[in-house]
Amino acid sequence: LNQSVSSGSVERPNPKVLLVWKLTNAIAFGIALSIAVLVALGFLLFAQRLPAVVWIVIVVLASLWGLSFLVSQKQWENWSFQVTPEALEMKQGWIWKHRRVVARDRIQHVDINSGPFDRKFGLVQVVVYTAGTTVGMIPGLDPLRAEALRDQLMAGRSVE
Amino acid sequence: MNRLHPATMVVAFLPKLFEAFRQVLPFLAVSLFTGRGDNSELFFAAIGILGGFGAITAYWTTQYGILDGHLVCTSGWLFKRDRRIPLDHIQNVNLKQGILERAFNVVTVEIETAASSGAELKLQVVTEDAANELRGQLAVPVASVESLTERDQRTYRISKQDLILGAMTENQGSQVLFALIGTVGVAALSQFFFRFFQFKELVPSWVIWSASILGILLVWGFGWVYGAIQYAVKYGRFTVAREPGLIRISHGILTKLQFAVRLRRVEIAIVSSTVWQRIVRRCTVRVGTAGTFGEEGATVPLALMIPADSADSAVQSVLPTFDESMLDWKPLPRYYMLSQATRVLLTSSLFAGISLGLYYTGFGRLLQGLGWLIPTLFGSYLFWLVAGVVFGYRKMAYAVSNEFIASRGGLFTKTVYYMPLAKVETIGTTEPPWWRRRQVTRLIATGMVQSIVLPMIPESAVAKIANLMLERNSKIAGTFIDADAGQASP
Repeated sequence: LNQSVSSGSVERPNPKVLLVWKLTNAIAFGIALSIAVLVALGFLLFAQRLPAVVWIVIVVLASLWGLSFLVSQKQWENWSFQVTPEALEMKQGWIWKHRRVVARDRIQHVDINSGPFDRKFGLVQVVVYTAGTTVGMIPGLDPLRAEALRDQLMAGRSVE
Repeated sequence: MNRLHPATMVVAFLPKLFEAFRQVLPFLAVSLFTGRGDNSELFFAAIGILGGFGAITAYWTTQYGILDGHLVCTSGWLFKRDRRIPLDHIQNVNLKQGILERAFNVVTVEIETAASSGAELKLQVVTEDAANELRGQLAVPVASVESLTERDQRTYRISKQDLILGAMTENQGSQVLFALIGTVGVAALSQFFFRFFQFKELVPSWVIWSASILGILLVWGFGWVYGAIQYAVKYGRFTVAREPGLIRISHGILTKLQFAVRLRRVEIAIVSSTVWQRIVRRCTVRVGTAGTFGEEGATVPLALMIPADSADSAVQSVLPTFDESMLDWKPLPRYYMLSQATRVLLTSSLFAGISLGLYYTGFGRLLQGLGWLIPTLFGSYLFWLVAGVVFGYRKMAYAVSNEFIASRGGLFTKTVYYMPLAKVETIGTTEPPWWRRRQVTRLIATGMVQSIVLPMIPESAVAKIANLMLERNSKIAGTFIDADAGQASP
């Protein structure tokens, strides 16, 4: 996918999206960990012992949380997209790499979504659809860039 | 606006009634038989019947018709729905006529678009005349297209011989099922008798052995006959009628199905042949559009049991740019075999570990001397997996021409997929890190609904395919949605 396909510049999600991902992870893991810790405390208080399972769960959860920092970082590093005159090309994935090339004429509609954390950091995500399927999602875009991208994609193939 | 046929109330209601009673039937039978029931089951059945009343309200509230280029259907009583489908967005029109519906001379019409899976619009019961009239109106945008098949406008109907041949050679689905049940079942049964009835003293062992083998053969044979009957009932009276820009495919002896396929909407053609079909040099061609075909699934048969050498012309009749000689078939990289073999060995050693673990942790005692089944089943499973990888690999290949992307494979049932590049919307690739070092990747070309998978190709081929896809798309730029509404003449 190197010769004529790529002529637009390669773009990346805003680095601020890393904060959004870390925050989301923190909430998910935080809730799970606090439940585990509460269970552990309950055991210590009422049974005066701590079963190995609870320990293992806490350690696994904490290490997964730690790992999620690395995963988000790598995910961000590997997420890119590129708008060329004929196609939208998206790349994603750290270990399993995914690439997608979509003919711009075939794009049916483009959604701009933003969750509460996205809004907090002034970001939006763009979801691209063709007639048949969801083609892909581009996270962490500046709202202005997202709107420009939507107009660009909805206009179909750029005439040159 | 038109109404549904009053027979809706019967045709849609009876199956619901049957369904409601079928579930409580065993309980009802027991309480009748013992005379001790309080018939509370009838109450539950009555609740089930309530669902059937939906069918009756559907008759009173549904209206459909064609209003300025849209197919309109309003329905609902408490929750009203008004659905409008632009005529040129319609992909397939499917007709279905079950036994009950035939008694009233009515049909169910399903209208499919590319938007989602399943029927976009289902008109439960309309008369055959109304369906024909509706179909005529729906065909308006199609008829204005320059005809693709005008020169050979004709109807093809499968002959009895071909149908019987097809039933005998193309029904391995239920065969395999019966074979599994039969082999394991008979083996277990013979072991059971062997252990619990002291047969050995009454009958000589060769009688038991030959009876077991006969039993297995009988079950296989029964499965085969059953599959053949199923096939004949499903595909009996298989007829393909060609009209300008359109083909009508109908089949079925008990439940009649008819599919109208717009030629410009065809996204994929699949040519398949089973081992037995290859012996008699026949094959089956199926086509898929950007819509599904109700119960038939994603594709519909275009030609059943045609001579293998006319498969290309059958594909060409729906995809005019198709030319088999332009396809440059290439085998998959050798690394594919290695990676598949590794995968098979990893998963099967996992299975082996689990089954051995189960066997030695006491589960084996439940089997009562049937322990030999575990290594036998596991061994044959492993054998088929390895054989599948080694021999299957040789059958796999992919090809790309200026117009088409194609892939083939299959050890026993050979399948070839052809997809025009002009119908491809997205090219996606995925690869794990260990594939990256070999510079290979897995490619999926996706159209509106159908897709084609090249399990492993060199990375260098991807750019070529993507560029071809973009080039093909540019030829119909801006007009693809209306491509068969008559405006598309670049």
